[in-house]
Amino acid sequence: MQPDFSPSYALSIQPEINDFIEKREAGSASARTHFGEYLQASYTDLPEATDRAAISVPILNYEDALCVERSLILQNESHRYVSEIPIAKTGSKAHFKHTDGQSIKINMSHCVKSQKAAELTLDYINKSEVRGEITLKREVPEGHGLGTSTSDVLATIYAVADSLCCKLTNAEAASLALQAEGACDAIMYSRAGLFITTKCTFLEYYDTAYPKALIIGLATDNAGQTVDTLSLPPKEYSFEERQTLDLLRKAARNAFYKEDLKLLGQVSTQSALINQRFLPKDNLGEVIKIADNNAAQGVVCAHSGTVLGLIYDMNDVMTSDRVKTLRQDLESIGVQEFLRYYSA
Amino acid sequence: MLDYKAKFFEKTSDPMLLPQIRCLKGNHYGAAFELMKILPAKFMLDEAERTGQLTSGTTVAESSSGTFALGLAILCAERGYKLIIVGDEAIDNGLKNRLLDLGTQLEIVPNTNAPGGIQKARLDRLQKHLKTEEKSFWPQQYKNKMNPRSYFYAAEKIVECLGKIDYLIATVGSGGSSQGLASALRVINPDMELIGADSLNSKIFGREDGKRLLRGLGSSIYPENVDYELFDQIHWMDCAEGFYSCRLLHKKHQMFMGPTSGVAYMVGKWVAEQHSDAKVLSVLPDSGHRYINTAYDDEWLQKNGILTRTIPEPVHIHAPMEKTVPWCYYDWNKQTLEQVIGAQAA
Repeated sequence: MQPDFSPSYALSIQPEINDFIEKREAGSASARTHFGEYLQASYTDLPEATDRAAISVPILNYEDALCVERSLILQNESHRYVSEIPIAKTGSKAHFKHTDGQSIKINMSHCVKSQKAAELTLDYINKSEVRGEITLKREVPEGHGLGTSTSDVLATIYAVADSLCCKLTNAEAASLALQAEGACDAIMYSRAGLFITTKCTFLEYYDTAYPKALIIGLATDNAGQTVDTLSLPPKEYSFEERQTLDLLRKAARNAFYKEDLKLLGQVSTQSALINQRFLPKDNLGEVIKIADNNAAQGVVCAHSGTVLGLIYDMNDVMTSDRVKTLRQDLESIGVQEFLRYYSA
Repeated sequence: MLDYKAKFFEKTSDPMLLPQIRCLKGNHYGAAFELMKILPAKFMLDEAERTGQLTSGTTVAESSSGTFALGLAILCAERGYKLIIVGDEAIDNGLKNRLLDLGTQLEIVPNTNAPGGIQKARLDRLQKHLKTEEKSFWPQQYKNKMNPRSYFYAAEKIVECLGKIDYLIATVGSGGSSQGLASALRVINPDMELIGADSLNSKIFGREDGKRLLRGLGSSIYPENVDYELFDQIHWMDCAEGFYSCRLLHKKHQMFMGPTSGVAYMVGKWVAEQHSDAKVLSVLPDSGHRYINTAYDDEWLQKNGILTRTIPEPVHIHAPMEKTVPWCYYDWNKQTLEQVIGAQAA
């Protein structure tokens, strides 16, 4: 049975369009990145999953409807899903300048995915004859699991479209990004959810924004190493781990709906612990202790990267004394540098 | 999941697996199961099927006189397994008739006061069947690790509805629900306190064994699935107060549950009053249908001399055997059974 999305319903509600983009001159766009994930797990939609009948996600707009249609094809497969922490005002900036050259050029030669994304975008909007140069600028280092790859690709897609005065919806951009890099983060969507990166679709999509959080990003000892996210092998969780991750998924659902950052922080800490054996972060245990002692809401990690962070409530007053104690605690385990990020 | 296909249940057992979450009063909630034991029964059978212990033609055999037998009977009938239940004379007529309807082979072992008691007589009979059947599977709810693990599934629904729980009240029989729910809910809130509710004449937490009119909690043995080091506090309640609590739950909240649920409700109510800013959850393990002629019948209660119209305040005791009063509690503080019994002997 197909879901009933009558055209009048779908058309009566405007899709959200590129709400995170800062526009400057024509052909410019930026895309935010994310600082790790609150939760990373795998989900297998088995026919005997009896909880399905109990779950309902309100259909709010046309893009949600697309998600529903895509989710129908997920059955009987196992998928890795993530709930990322998008970071405000940091990410990638792209500029696309039309030229008379023979091919599409890019200033960072190793960013072949962005190059491919530009070509795909031009194809998609029927302007494949256009040539140009992409200039990419990044505010976060790559290879730490902070989603730079997707933010590069998305910024490029929007920049190319913008240079031709074309507006793409989030779903269109996501689909192009998926073609360009084989997987795509959820950073183009402003509302919270659990996202299946390899399918570029939501497993669960919530009617709330991400809770406002302050992330204190730490460089761990092995942060010097970089990780090629897409080359990571799939994670095989044990029965016990799957049970706990399913529990965390339901807790995340509660936390997002009630905008309960404390609960989300606990989910995040537990997710980091369960996934630790796949891509270990140095000092995770110590950082969790420090988070407890310094009244943080939890610890976040880049599940397919190397960085760790402490989650704080944005409304929590960080007095200079608190910052000093936190700094001392972190220095005692060898963390010299940390950065503030604001989720949004 | 966004799924529009599963609007109906394919099996009778499916909707029975998860509890209904009900707000009783302010900060006090109840997780009400129609038949809680069907959840561990399902996980034990699933695991046995996965590991090849249970295949087509295998006979399932278990010793039980309670709701675990009923849970197994429903599942075995659904899946087409032959089921042998070894029980004693404590098994009530209603349950007996339901088991027979579901195709169970019911073996009632008479109480002959032989050495080892009725428990041993039942296990001997069970062993005989396990040996004579061509292929047999014994779930062993007191030992089977799938018993506690199955409650992670119920915990999913609890955290989805309520988020963090501060106090969990679980009645203790096999130890499965208390261990499973506490382990799961402590993933979300490591500081959660687990409060066990037991029957006054139960051996589990260091008291003396005796006749128990209120069934479904308590035991004459030390079940392996009771994880003593998870408990923060233990409450013991006598049967009259348990029956009265169950009636109160029905009268005040219209919840038609069994006497075990009554005990969990009353302990939870008291805890919720003590900690008004904490979220308290009582686990209510089965519905009242089995007790229509007992707990819900004033004449029966009167005849057995257990009709009460008051609930006393619980008495704080400092060793499990210190006092025998209708309702008492002991701060277990995550000790082992040996520690508590040793301290009591000294």
